[in-house]
Amino acid sequence: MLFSSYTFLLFLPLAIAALAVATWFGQRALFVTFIALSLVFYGWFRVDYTLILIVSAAVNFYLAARLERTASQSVFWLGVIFNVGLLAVFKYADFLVWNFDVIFRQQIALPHIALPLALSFITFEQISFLSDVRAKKAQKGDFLRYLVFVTFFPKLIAGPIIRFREMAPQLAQAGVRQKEQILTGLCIFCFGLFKKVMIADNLALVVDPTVIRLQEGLVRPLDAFTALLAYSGQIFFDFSAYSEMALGIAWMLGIQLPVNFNSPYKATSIIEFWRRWHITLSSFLRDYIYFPLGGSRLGAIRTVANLLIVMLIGGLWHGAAWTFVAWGFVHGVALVANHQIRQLHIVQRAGNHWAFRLGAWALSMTIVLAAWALFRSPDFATSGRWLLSIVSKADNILETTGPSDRWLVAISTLWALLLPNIPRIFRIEPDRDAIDWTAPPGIPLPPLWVSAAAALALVASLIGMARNEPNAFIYFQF
Amino acid sequence: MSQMPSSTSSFSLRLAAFLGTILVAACLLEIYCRTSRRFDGGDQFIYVRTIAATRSANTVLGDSHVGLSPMIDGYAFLGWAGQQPQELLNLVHFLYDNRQPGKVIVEAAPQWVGEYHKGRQLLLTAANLQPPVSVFGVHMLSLTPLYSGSLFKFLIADLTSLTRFVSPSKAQPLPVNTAQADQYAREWSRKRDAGGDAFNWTEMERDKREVLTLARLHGQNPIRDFESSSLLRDYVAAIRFLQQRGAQVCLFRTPVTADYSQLGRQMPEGRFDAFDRWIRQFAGAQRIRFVDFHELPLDFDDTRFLNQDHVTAAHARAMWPLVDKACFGG
Repeated sequence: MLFSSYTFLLFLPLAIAALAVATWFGQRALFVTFIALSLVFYGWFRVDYTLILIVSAAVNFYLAARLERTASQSVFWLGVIFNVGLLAVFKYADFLVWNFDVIFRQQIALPHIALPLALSFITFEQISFLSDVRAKKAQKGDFLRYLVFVTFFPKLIAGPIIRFREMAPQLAQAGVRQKEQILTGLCIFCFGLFKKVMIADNLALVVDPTVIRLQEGLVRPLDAFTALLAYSGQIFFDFSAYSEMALGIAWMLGIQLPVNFNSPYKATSIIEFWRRWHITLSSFLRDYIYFPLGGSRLGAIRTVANLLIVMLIGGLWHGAAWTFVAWGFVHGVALVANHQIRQLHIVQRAGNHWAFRLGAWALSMTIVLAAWALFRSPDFATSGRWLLSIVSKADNILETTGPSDRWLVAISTLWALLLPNIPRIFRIEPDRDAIDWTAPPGIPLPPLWVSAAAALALVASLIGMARNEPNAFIYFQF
Repeated sequence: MSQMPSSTSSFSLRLAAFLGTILVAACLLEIYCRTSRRFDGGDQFIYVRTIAATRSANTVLGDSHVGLSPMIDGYAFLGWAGQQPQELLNLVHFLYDNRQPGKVIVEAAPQWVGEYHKGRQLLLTAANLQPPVSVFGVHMLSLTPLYSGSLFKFLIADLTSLTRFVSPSKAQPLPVNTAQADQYAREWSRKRDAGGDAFNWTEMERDKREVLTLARLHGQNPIRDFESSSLLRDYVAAIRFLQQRGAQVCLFRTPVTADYSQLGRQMPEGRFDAFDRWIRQFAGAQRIRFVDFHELPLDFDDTRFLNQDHVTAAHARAMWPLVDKACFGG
């Protein structure tokens, strides 16, 4: 079920009503209702894959029970292998077989296994769960509670990637309890819906024709640049919209989720970009891969290697293609360079000067934009043509973008760069590490104008949704 | 979890603001849809309404070469600039899923599989052909795909007078591919508007006609491997559907200027002849009557054309009854 579909807009009030009733009957009834609703939500896409979800959760819970008793290294690695193996079968089988065929000149048929939605996200969530249980940072609790955590429908399909220790303490107070929470959550949801339906989906219409043409040849420089800006806007508005809708829905149900986006295009360095973009992924990569690898504690060469490993994994996590690996590599190299540059004396002296910050922002965004060409393109040739088109003089070809497209791109770019973001408007703490998850601060009622603006966003989105079949969120494919 | 500091009154105020804004905004937008002249002026609204109102079993289906003005007695003409095969397929299903078709003339021109369809948005989607959503018995135009797709563009244009928001950027009836052709296309538009019914293609200088024709050929050139494309699959599916429903189908190759034919043959990577061969073979294999405009007892010199591939209105009125006769006799 897509958040931006009429089906979900019917499902949501029914779910809230069911959970309100279940809250009345106590925690166990509430948990069962949470799970049932989440399975309906998930099964709407494909019923049989709900079984994978449940089996995966059961295996991880069993292993966590063992870990709680023994903290065994081998049990932990068994869990990692199980989770990554599941991902390898469903997500990377084609990629692995294709590469095997190319390297060894074989012709093994690609298995074409359909990827269960959410698998990439719950894989990381469950690995973090095992790791936290082993490190005594979390207690596994009972299976019902764990299943609520795994299947919790607001964040199930595309994150934020949350940790059991962040959610478990909140479950004691979860449920539909306060009307203020419903209104606040609804307002956040409306803004997310607007960003998805009215901005991201329209930007997709600017990007797609250009990418189709780029698969065959160059496009006009203006079209190539417009499409690149459009895609950077599309992926930001699409994914941040999902995260914010998830945040809003979860808050209606009494659960606060961590913030996932904090105006990433305002970042003045690649390091800062990754502190603002897909925050829950980057903090997972930091806490569960980079730090265990040694982080920056083992000398300069190991630090560089660790950064590159983390970003390559991050790239591959996004998709089973070499273009994603290359995207991760570009960001890895940029991060390494960023870490080196910021140690320079001249940089430390000039770091706060506005001109320096403007230059640093421009350089960082150039890298981010160029890397998006890799991320969006189906192959290296297309991404190469995309970037080449920007600096070429290929004018004697059909245009792929028009004035209205460029207006939309300009407005969405200015929005991303200038307007306050959702955490700021709703006064939500953006730093997950600064939150005490045993008693999260919550989200206060928004100002009056925000309520009215959210209503406008809802009306506009409902009309926008009438245009076409709802578009899936970009991150569903990951 | 911390409790949220708020009084009931502040909550009620916000709730009232939220619900009140929804109500007011929804009503205003619906009124705008019903009263704005922009929705009357847009060709696509007229086209979709014409389709919805079509009751005739006999139809002529195609793109701008067919248009919307009936040129044969007893036929509905349903053609829209740059119509795509998928739209044709949606259209025949909309028209004939629950109704028996009669005589159907389908345009058989290479632009069905032309380059210029790549990335273009569809107008005739199944959703756009649906009747309006009803809320408490009221047909909400603002919640129909067709209106909702243009509502905000029109509204912004009205609010700011930025009319360029309204100008279509992708489904131009005359796609141009060079700055020079763009300039000549504007000149052509001016001359046509000034000349009215008397205007014809020879009023443009020969070199300009050639530039415009090349631009058009570039856009209409069948895509590489068009035989295996989804464009052709949809086109074939539409015709087979018509046959299965018992329609008398005729394929008609619409007229183009002599320059168009000649330059199309000379064009590097041109696939016009390949399409011509394919359509004739297809018609033969399906036992469908195929009529080429050259077979008609009419002159097709440049004075009979508005541009590279559209005949003048007067010539169209003379041509279409002859097409009917060539297709179905009588």
